[in-house]
Amino acid sequence: MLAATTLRDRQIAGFTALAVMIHVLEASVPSPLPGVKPGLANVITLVVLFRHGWVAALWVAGLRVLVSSLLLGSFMTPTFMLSGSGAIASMLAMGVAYGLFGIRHRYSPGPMGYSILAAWGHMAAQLWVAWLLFIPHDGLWRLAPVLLTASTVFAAATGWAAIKLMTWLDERSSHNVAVKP
Amino acid sequence: MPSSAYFLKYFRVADLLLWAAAIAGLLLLYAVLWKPAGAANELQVMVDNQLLQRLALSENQQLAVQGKLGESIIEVRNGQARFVSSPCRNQVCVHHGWAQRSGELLACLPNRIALVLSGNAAQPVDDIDAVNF
Repeated sequence: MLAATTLRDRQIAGFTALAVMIHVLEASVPSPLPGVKPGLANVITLVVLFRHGWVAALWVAGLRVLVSSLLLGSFMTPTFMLSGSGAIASMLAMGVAYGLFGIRHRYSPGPMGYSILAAWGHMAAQLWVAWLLFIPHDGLWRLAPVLLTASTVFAAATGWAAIKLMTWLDERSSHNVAVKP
Repeated sequence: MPSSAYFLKYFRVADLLLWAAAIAGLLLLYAVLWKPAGAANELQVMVDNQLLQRLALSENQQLAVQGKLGESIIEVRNGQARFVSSPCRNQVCVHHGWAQRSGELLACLPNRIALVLSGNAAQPVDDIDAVNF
């Protein structure tokens, strides 16, 4: 028997599949610095946030972290805990901004703004969890500026890619435009 | 519809504010967290992860510490500390030489002895630019 699914369920599943694919591909690329990776799967999170709302984005981000960890074999390992805490914190940071300022108003942040909020929330939570669980040494905080610099650069790249993708989508769907020009 | 009309709609004033705050925060973090380590004034002698004793770096002395393998000789002179000898095979601790900055660590892992330098975090030392291992 098939479970009854709604259009929204299928959309979330589709976006999650895309995000998982990016996450897993990215995990196979070696990083010059441990702990530094672009996090391009968040392009999908941003697009879903702007086109389908925060709750849908939360589902996609949460499912992406869970499914990717199962595929990569890192479920319940430190990698998963860092990835999960980062996702929770970035969704919370974006959720606060989403609740206060939304996405459609003149004063709302755009993808660039949401991207930097998410990146900093992500990195702050990861550093805190890393310090709490794995490296309880104060020397860890001296890494914070370096990691946050990398994270800020990747936030710009992610925000930019999300804008390009949404512009591309907007041109093709005149009836369902997240932000009308 | 020209694509630039859609494209530009995704850049907002709030983005500028958030990015200005992020870059300011980043500079602040570098300023706060990347202060050079100051000269140390205290030495903690750890044996098998237990604090054995605290020494003032201002008092010149030699000390024999009993570790897992045998006796290591530690010397404190002119605000610096070093391993003079140790019964370990590789002598990494002895070759490390003198340590003087707060936060520095000298360790003889085979003999389970670690020397941790601490104190005076604010006082800058500008004779060494970088330490690399």
